[in-house]
Amino acid sequence: MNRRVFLKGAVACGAFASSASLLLTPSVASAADAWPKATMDLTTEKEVLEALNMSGATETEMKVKAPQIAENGATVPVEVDASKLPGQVKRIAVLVAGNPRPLAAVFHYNEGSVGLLGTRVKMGKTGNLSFVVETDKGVFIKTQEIKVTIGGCGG
Amino acid sequence: MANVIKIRAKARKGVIDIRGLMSHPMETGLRKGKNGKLVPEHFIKHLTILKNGVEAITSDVNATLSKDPYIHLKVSGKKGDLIEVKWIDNKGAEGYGKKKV
Repeated sequence: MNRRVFLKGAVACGAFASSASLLLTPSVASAADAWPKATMDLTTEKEVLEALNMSGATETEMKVKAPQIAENGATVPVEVDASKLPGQVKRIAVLVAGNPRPLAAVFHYNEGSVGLLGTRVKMGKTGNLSFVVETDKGVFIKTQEIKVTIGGCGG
Repeated sequence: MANVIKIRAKARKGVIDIRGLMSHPMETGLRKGKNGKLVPEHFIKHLTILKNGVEAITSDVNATLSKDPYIHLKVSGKKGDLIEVKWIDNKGAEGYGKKKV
């Protein structure tokens, strides 16, 4: 009896593991190698933009949802809607100027996606939050200052 | 099953509205723990959103995103499409979630 149960469990585990690895491994593993560590570790906003090949962005009005005052720097909800910009959105980068590592994330948009990004970021202190959007018609930036009233964590 | 991603997806006027919530510590490696030592970094590196098995949105993520990251994205599509979200962190752990619109 015990042996039977054990065998069943082992088979089930094996099946799950192999299907999971089939699903996840190929694309994720190849993407992991491409993580731009050097860019992520840069310490100033300007350097990051240069590294991303996004410098010289035009200041543009975009629909940004972000609080004026963040009560908790550990989670600041931010959202940008860049679908009104000219051209198809290719990349959106989120930068938090006051942080030790300003670059929060770069999202790459393939065909059939809408240029909208909502997420939550950490902010160590009061500072500017920038969305940099690259479309096939140019690079656009929108910056907003967010005041952080209680210090978040060190990130 | 700690690495399951919660997903909500709704189709409206040809656009699928995706909201996802992951469970992850997102340590930056800069914060000190209770013992006064730095907490080692542990964060999601890549986030991928697939529609019907095709990559719609990919991303490189830094530890600056908050703990238990939340995302809100849109892709064009219709009811019945399959949305999948997956992530991989700097320790090689993976998370996966899917939702039929």
